[in-house]
Amino acid sequence: MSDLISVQNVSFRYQEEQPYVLNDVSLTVEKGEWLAIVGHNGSGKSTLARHLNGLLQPEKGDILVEGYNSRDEKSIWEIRRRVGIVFQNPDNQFVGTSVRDDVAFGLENNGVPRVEMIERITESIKRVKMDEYVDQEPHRLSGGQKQRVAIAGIVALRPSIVILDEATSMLDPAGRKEVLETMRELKEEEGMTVISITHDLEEAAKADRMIVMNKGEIIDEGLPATIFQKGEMLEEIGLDLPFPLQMHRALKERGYPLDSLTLSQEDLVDAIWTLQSKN
Amino acid sequence: MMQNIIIGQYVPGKSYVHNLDPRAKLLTTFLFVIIVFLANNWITYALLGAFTISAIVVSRIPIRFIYNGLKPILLIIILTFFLHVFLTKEGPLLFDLGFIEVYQGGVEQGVFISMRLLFLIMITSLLTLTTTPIDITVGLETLLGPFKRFGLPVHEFALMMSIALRFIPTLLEETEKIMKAQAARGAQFSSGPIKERLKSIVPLLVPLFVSAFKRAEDLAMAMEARGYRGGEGRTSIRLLKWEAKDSLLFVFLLVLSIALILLRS
Ligand SMILES: Nc1ncnc2c1ncn2[C@@H]1O[C@H](COP(=O)(O)OP(=O)(O)O)[C@@H](O)[C@H]1O
Ligand SMILES: [Mg+2]
Repeated sequence: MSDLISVQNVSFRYQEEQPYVLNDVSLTVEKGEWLAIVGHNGSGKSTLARHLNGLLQPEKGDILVEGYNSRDEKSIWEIRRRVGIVFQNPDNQFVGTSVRDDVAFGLENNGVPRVEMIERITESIKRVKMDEYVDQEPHRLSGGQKQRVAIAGIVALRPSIVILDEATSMLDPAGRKEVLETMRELKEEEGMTVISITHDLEEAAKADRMIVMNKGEIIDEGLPATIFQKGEMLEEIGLDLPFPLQMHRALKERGYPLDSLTLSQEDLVDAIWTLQSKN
Repeated sequence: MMQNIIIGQYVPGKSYVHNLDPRAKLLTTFLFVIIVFLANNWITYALLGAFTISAIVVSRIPIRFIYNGLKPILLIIILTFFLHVFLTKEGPLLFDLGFIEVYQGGVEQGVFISMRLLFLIMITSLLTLTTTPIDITVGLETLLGPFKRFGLPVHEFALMMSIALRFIPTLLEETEKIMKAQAARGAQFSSGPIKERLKSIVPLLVPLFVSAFKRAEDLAMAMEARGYRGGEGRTSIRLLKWEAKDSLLFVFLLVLSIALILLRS
C-alpha cells in the first residue's frame, strides 16, 4: 500500500492570537483504506478535512496529496479533483436545480466536454442508485438521497478519496445506512479510499483504521480493536462508547468472564450465548 | 403556494411555443416590445392583436392563466383608458356632459394605449408561462454572453439566479417550520391588530436570516470544494438548440413588422 495523502506537522488557527485549532498534526492515508477520524465537537476534524482538499492552507507544515502540495497555487485544482468532501448538511451542498444539474456541477467547473459529461453523469448516478430520480428537484428528495447525489457528484470527477465529514449525522437511521452502504460498495468495487469523520463510534468500529482527535491533536491511532481497548480514554474526551461495548463492560463488572472485545451487536450476541457452553 | 414560486408561472406543455428555444422567445419578446410602438391606427393594432391572439392559441395555454397575469395591471389599463378619453381633445366632439367633453380622438387614443399595454403584458406572460425559469436563465446567459467582454457579470448573474431558484423551496419550508415553532410559543401571525402582526414578523425573520447566512456559507464552501472557480473555462450541461422552428418565428415577426410599417399612417 502506498500513501495517498501525507500530512506533515500541520498547525493551523483561524485567527492569530487564538489557540491553534490543529496542533502539529501528522498522518498518512493509504490507498484503498477506510479511515475513521473520531473526536468530540470542536476537536478540529472539519478543519483537518478542509486542509485535505486545499480549502484551507496550513500555517505550518505541509500537505501532500498524490504528490501535489496544497501550498502550490497550481496544485489546488488537481487536489480538489482528487479529494471530494461530502458535508454534513444535505441541503446546503446541493447546488443544482435537479439531480442531473447537481452532479454536473463539478464536471462543469472542471471544463469537461458535454458529451463526456453526460456519460459520466449517467454512470455515477447509477453508481449511487439514483437513476430513477435524474430529473427530480432537491426538495423532493430525502436527506439520504441528497447525500447520495452529493457522492455521485464527487464520483463523477473520478477522485481517489472521498471524505465524509459527519455526512450521516443529520440523517435518519435508514438514510444513514443507505449512504454508508453506497460508500462501502464504492470502496469494495472501485478501490475508493474513504475517510469517514464521525462521532458515531459504532460506525468507526467498522473502519480499517482509526484516528482519535482531541483539542486539535491526534491522541491515538491504530486498529479499531486496539483503540477500543482504551474505553476510558475515549469516554474521557467525551465520546459515547458503542452500545455492545458498554454492555461488554457492564457484564464484565458483574463478573461474567467475557474476554475478547465486542464491537458489534453480533459479537456481543455470540459472546453471550457461548458463555454458558464454556463453563 | 410553493409550487407557484418554484416553477414560476410555468405551465407545462408540448406546444410549438413551449418547444421554442428560450433565446428565440426572449428575442421575440424583446423585439415585440419595440414593434408594438409602430402601430398607430386601427388596422395596425388589429394586426398586433391577431399576432398576440394566435400566439396564445398556438401555445394552448388556458385563458385563465393569461388573465391571472393581466389582473395586477388591469386597473392601470382602465385608468389609462379613461384618462385619454377625458383629457385628449382631438377630432370631432362625441358628447358633452357639461363637466366633461369626450372627443373621438380621445376614445381612439384610449383604446390604442390600452391595447398596447394589453398586448405587451400578454406576450411577456406568454414567455414566462411557456418557459421554465431555469431555461429563461440559461437563455439570458447565452444571449448576454458577448457582453462579458465589457465586464458584464453574466455568468455570475445566471448562477445567482439558478441558486435562488434552487433555494426558494428550501427557504419556504424553513419559514413554515419557524412559523409553526413560534406559533407553538404563542406568536400570532394571522390575527390581531396590524401593529402586533408586524411585530410578530421579527421572530420569524431573525432565525430565517441567521440560517440563510449559514446556508450561504456552507454552500460557498461546498462549491469551492467541487472545484468552482468562476465562469472561466467552464462547460455547461444545458445545451440550447436553435432549430428551423426558431428561425420560422423570426419570419413571422419580420412579416408582421413589414406589414406594420406599410399599413401605419
Ligand atoms: N470558520 C471558522 N472561523 C473561526 N473558528 C472556527 C471556524 N470553524 C471552526 N472554528 C473553530 O475551530 C475549532 C474546531 O472546529 P471544527 O474543525 O469544526 O471541529 P469539529 O469538526 O471537530 O467539530 C472550534 O473551536 C471552532 O469553534
Ligand atoms: Mg465538524
